[in-house]
Amino acid sequence: MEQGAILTLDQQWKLAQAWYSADRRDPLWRRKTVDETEAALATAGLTGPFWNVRPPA
Amino acid sequence: MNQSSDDLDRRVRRLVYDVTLRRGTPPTLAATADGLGTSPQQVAASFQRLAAGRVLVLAGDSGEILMANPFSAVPTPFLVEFEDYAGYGNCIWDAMGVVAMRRRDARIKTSCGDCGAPMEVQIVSQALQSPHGVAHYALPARRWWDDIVFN
Repeated sequence: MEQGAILTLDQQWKLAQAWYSADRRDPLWRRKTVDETEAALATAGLTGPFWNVRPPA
Repeated sequence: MNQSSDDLDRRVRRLVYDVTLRRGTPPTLAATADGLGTSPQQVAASFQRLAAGRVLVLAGDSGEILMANPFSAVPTPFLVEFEDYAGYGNCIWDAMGVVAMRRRDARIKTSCGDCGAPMEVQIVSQALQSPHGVAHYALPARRWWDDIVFN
């Protein structure tokens, strides 16, 4: 079984802010692109294979 | 998707999040239809499109909203208490996301996924007050939407 990943609560809070700060009531709101998702993850220091969101080539 | 369904989906999303942010739980399908002055059938179709676009997660049997992320329509182990109401996040990420989205002071009440001990996280003025504890992710990011309710 995979071990998974561990985040500190500080990392988790940074990720929550990066992920959910946009106003979903805004007509122009849309889901994040892959690049934007990677950027949001990176704000919490989350990089590497576990956090890879790119579809397989 | 044609222009009219695209426009309806924007109006549905706006109403769903407007209601959810005001009271902590998403509206029902019927209440959404009432609020927009449109038919339940049209709203049901819009909910399905928004779910296909991973904006909402629906309860499979009823077509009602189960998750208007980060909010949960049903009680979960992640209670978020504000001064004016309490709601539920779908996980610790979402519980913190509820606080980030509302930008208000809050207290998150949950329990340790390992030993079951009660845990509390306070956020004041958008700053974490008690950064003790960790969050565990079992599945890699690419697999989260394989089963988002489980994850």
